[in-house]
Amino acid sequence: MSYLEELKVKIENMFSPEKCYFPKENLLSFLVSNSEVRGALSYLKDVEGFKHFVMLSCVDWLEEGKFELVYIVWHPEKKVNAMVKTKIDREKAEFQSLHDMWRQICTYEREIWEMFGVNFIGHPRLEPFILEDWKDMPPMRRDFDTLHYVNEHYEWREGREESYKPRDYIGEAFDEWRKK
Amino acid sequence: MSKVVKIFHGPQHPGITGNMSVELDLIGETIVKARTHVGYLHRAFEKLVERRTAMQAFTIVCRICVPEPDPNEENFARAIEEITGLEVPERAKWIRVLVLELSRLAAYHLWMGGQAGSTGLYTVPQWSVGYRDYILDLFEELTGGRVYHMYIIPGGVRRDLPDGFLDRVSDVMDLIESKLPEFDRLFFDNAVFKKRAIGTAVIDPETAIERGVVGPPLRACGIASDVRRDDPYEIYDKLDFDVITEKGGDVYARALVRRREMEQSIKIIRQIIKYIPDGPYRTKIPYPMNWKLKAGETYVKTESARGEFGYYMVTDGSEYIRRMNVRGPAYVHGVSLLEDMLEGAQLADVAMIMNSLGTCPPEIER
Amino acid sequence: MCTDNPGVWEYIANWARKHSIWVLAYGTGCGAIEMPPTMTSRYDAERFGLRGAATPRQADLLIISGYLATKTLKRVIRTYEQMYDPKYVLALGSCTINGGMYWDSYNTIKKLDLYIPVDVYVAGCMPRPEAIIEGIIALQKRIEEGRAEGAKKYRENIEWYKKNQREVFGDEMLPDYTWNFEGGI
Repeated sequence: MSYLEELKVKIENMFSPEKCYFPKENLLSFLVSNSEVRGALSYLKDVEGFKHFVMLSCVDWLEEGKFELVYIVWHPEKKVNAMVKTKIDREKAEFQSLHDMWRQICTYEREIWEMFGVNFIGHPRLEPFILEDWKDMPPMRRDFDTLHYVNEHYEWREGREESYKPRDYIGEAFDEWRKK
Repeated sequence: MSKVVKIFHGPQHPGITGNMSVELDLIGETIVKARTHVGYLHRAFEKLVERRTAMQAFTIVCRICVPEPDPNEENFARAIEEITGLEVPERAKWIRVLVLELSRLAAYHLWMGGQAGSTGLYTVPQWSVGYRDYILDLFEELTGGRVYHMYIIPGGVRRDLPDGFLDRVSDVMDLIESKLPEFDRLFFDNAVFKKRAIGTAVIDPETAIERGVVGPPLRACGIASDVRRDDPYEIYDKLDFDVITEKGGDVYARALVRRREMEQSIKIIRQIIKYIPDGPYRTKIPYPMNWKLKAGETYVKTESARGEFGYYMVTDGSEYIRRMNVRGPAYVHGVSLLEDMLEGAQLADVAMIMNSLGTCPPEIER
Repeated sequence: MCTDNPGVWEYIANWARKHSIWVLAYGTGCGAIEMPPTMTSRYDAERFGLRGAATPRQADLLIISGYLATKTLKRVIRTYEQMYDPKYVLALGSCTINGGMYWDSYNTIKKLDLYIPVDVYVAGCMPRPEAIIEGIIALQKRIEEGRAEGAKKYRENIEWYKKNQREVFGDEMLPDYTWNFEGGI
C-alpha cells in the first residue's frame, strides 16, 4: 500500500470526507465540511509533513449556489500532493482566514476576496489587489458577463463586427475537408 | 535623522522587472517598509478561458508569462490530457522537453541581462540578449514565432521537426556552451557583482519551505527540489541531469544556481538530440469545435526557469473549462516574499533583488 | 513646437529631432519583451538614434507595448502628459489597435487612440524587432515631414480626449495638474 493510500485511510478515520479519491497517481483530493478545514490542513502540515503550501483556488458552482475553496499542499519528502476542498455558501460567502498557518495564504485570500467576493474573517489586509476602482460585481463570478461589461464601457474599432461566426465557418470548412 | 520618505519604485521605472510598482518607506537609503502594487497587466485570462473551447483557449494561455511562455502551453496541454485521458506519442514527449529546455535557456539568458543590468554591468545584456536570439531563431524555424509559439497542443505537438533541425540545435548548443566561460569572466566572477550580491537578501532553508519558495531561490538554500526530478513529467525520468544546489541563499547563490543549470539544460538537449525516437508527433484528438471535456479536476506542474509553474483545472463535462487557476512562481516570490526581503535592504538593491527572485508581473495578475 | 509657421528653422529642427529619438523605458505590456533585442547588439536600434531615457521629462517617444489594462492606462496618460514637446507615441501590437485577442476582456481597452493620440501603429502579436524598427522609420519620416503632430492634436482636442478618458475611469479621474495649469500643456 502506497503512502497516499495509507493517508487516505487515516483521513477517512479522522475526518468525515465526502469524496476522497485520487484524480491522478500522486494527488489525493477530499472534500470536508467547513469546520474541519483547519484541522485537516494542520494535520497534514504538522503531523504528516506537508510543509509546502502550493495554492488556494476558488471554483464557482453557480448551479449549486456554492463556492468551492481548494487548498493544495505538497510533501517535500514523500513527493505527493494533497488537495483539501470545502464548499461555502454563495449568498453569504465568508470563511475563516488561514493566514496564520502559511503566510502566503494572505495573497491568495486577498485575490479571492477581490475576484469572487468571499469575505475572509480575520484577514489583516483585505484591500484591492489587482483591480482599481472596481464598482461592478466581483468579475470572476460566473454570472458576471465580461462581454456585456465591455460593450458598456469600451468602444469598438469599426471593422471588428462579427460578420460571420468563426465557429460555424471553421466547422463548415472542416466538414468539407473531411469529406474529401 | 529618522524622517521617513515614501517613494514609488515603478510602474514607470527603468529598474523594475515588467510593469509593477513597489511602494517604499525609506529612512536614508534603507527601506523600512515595502508594499507591492500589482494589477497593471491584468487581462483576466482565467475569465477568458471560461468563454473559449479547449482549442481556442490553448492559443491564449501562452501569453500568461511573457519571458517564458512554453511552461504554460505544456501545463495546459498536460492538464487537458490528464482529464480526458489522451495518450501522447513518445516522440511528441521528447520534442516537448526539447522545447521546454530551449525556452529555459532563453529565459536564463534574458535573466542574465536583467540581473547584470540592474547591477550596472551594461555589457552583459548586449551579449546575453544577443545569444538568446540564436535560440529564438531556432524557435522561429520550429514554430513560426519568436516569443509566443503555440506549439505544444493537447495530444502532442503542432508539427514535426524540420529537416536538419537537430543539427542546427547542436550547433547553437556548442556556441552557447563555448560562451559560458566568457560570461563567467564578465559577470559571475565580476568583483562588482560579487561585492553587491554576496550576503544580500538571504533566505534561510526553513523559511524558504514555509513561505512556498520554489525553483532556483529554493535550490540556492541547499534544498534539492526540482519538479523535473520530484514529480517527473514527460520523459524527464529517462534523462540524466543533476539538480543543482548552492549554499548561502543570497543573490549570488541564486545566480550561480542559474548559471550551473544552463549547463544541465545543454546536457539534456544533447541527450535528446542523441536518443530522440521516430514515430508520430501527435495523436488524433476529437473534433475540436465540439470536444466535450470529461468532468474532472487535476493539478499539473512544470519546472519553469523561475520554479514550479502549476495549473489547477476543473472541467464539468461541457466544451468549456470550468475553472483554470494559474499558480506562477512569482505569485509568492513577487508579492509577499518580496515585501519581506526588501525590508532592511538598500534602495539601490531593489532591482537586483527583484530580478534575483524572478519577479514576473504578468503571471502574478494574469 | 512651432509647426504653425513652418520655415527653414522648423525643417532643421525636425531633421535633428528625427535623428535623436529617446524612448521612455516603460514596458506597459508584453511587447516589452521584444524591446531588449531591439535595443541590444543584434538589431541595435541605436543606429537610428534611438536610446532609452529614464524619466518622462527627458523622453521623446512613448512606446505603448501591447494591451493596456485600465490601471495602466491611467499611468500612461499621466506619463504622456508629463512628457515635453516634441513627443510621439508608437503603439505596438494588435491589442492596442482593436483589442486583439483580449477583445472580450473586461480590463483592457480596445482602442488606444481614443485616449491618447497615436502617431504610428505597428500590427502583430507581438511585432518582431524588424517591425518595430520599420515603425520607427515610418515615425522618422513623419517627423521629417512635420506630420507627427500628436501632441498638438491632444492640446487642441483636450476636451474630447478627457471625455473619453472619463468614460473609462468614471469619477476616479486622474489629477489634472499636469495639463490644466496656466497656459495649458
